[in-house]
Amino acid sequence: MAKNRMREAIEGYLFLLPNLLGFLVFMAVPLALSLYYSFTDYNLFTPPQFIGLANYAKALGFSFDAEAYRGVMAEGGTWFAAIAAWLKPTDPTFWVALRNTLVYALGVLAFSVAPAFLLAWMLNSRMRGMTLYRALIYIPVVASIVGSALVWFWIFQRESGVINTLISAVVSTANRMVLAPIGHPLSDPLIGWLVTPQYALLSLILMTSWATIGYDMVVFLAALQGIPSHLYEAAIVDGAGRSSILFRIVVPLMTPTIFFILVTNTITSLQIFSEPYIMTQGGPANSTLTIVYYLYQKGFQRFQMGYGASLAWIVFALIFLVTLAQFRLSGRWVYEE
Amino acid sequence: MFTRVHRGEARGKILFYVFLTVVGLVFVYPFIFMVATSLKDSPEVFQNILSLFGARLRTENYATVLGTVNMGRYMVNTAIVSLGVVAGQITTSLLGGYAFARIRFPGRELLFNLYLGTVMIPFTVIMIPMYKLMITFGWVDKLQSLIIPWIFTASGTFLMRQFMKSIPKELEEAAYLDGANRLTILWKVFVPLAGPAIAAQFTISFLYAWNSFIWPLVAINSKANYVVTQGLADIQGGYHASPPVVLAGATLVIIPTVLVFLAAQRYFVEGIATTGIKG
Repeated sequence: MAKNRMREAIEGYLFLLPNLLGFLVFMAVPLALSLYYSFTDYNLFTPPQFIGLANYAKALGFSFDAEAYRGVMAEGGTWFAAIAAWLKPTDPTFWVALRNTLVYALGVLAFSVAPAFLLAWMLNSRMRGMTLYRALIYIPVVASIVGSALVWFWIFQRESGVINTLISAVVSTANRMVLAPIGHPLSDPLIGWLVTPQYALLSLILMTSWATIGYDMVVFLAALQGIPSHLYEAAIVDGAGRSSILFRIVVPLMTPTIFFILVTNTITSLQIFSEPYIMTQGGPANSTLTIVYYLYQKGFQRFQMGYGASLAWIVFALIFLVTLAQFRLSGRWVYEE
Repeated sequence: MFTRVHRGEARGKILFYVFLTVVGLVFVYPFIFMVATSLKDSPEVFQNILSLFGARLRTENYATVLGTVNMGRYMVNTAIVSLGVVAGQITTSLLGGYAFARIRFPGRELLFNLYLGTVMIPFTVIMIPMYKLMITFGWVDKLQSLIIPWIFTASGTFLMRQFMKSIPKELEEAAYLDGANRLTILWKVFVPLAGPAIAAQFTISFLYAWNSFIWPLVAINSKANYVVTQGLADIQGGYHASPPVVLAGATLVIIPTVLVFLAAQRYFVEGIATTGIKG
């Protein structure tokens, strides 16, 4: 008997061997090395030099400029502006990238989760053709982000791009029909979707949301189909209307799925790279530089591998913190049976 | 004929379909635009970017992309990489999933939870040392750098384990009493039943491998070994590239994945519903 047990255990480890080896070589070792590199000055060609926390201090550190603080106050500026002048980040670009990344993640959540839920709710009907619409909305998810980014690059072009051409057509029609005769013609806004700092990040957020909604929708749809029909029937018998079924029964039952989507979307958005790389190269004026893009620049274009590794751990910490916060908050609103 | 209620219902139905059709069109319009533009020439594009057709369908943009730009080579490279990743992932997942589902050995639950936990680790964190590893192995600029590190998958192993746990034990016990060993059982009993699970993993990992970008960008640097996403970034970077040529390239990269998805839609959706992992 013991011999059989032994044999079974050995077989178990043998079946697991490929995964164990792969995990060791391509996950555990790189993870340990990555942590080590983050404490070193390393250019890939000469051995890493241990420099303690210097990389993290460079990314996260501040110096304080009392002179600038007094200057702003003396000119009658607000104390908020004075504090902003007083804090001098060691690496201002890191903070720009961090801000962009957080705005990016929040923007994608805002533009994708609720619309995806609404679409899933509509497509969960028994009417004909629902699979067709589901497939149409899902196609952007399977399409290469790099390929889609090239397409959107031309949609967002300032001169003769798709969106601006449409806007021009609407403006000139409105002018001809109504606005010019009454003496208030509009001028064509000709928005630089990708080339002006105030629009570029928004444009990328819109594109990423377009590519995300289908995924969210399919996950919501799977969860909606798991809601037992007797719950709906009971509600209908009780005389509940469509909106009270949605908000009193469906949404509470869906909160674990909504939570799952919030977490996975956040994790993905915090690591966005391809969209800015293809469409804006992080510009204009770093307005679409994300943390992973910054990491790529530092590590693979300037060979500051140690600094790059510390940025990677900061991304990881950020993902961890955001996920943890979402878990903590979930206790307040996620419904559990 | 219709009572008032019925008329309202019919109107609601029409509105419902109109709304969904508009939404569906918004989602596929970029691809319609992509294909339409890839069949025009540059002057036609800038004359009216919204029109679907130029004077005639110009397939020469595809000739340019496949010839001058060498996209054909990149597609072959990417196909080798994707199929290699898929074959490797399915093999390791079947073996690992079987071990976790059916074989008893000390530390099984701990290992399983540990392995599943690695799903949480973003690739970004290990990218730099992974590149160093490729230098050490001599794999930089070789296709195996895009295949071998990627054939081990915690989520795929999880998918196979869940699937195998759902299969009644009696099926394998009969084979076991006939003296079959575990590999034979896995091959003869489980694999034939695992069709849907394998199909789900096939589509998900194929799309993931075909579309991957940041790692090839780091690991591959000579054009002969480029994958399609690198090829696209390269045409975009060349300032001489005209929109029809760029979008012909994008069409060649995107259409195969859309076809795979449409063919395997059912498995795909099932896979996502089980693991929550997207392509």
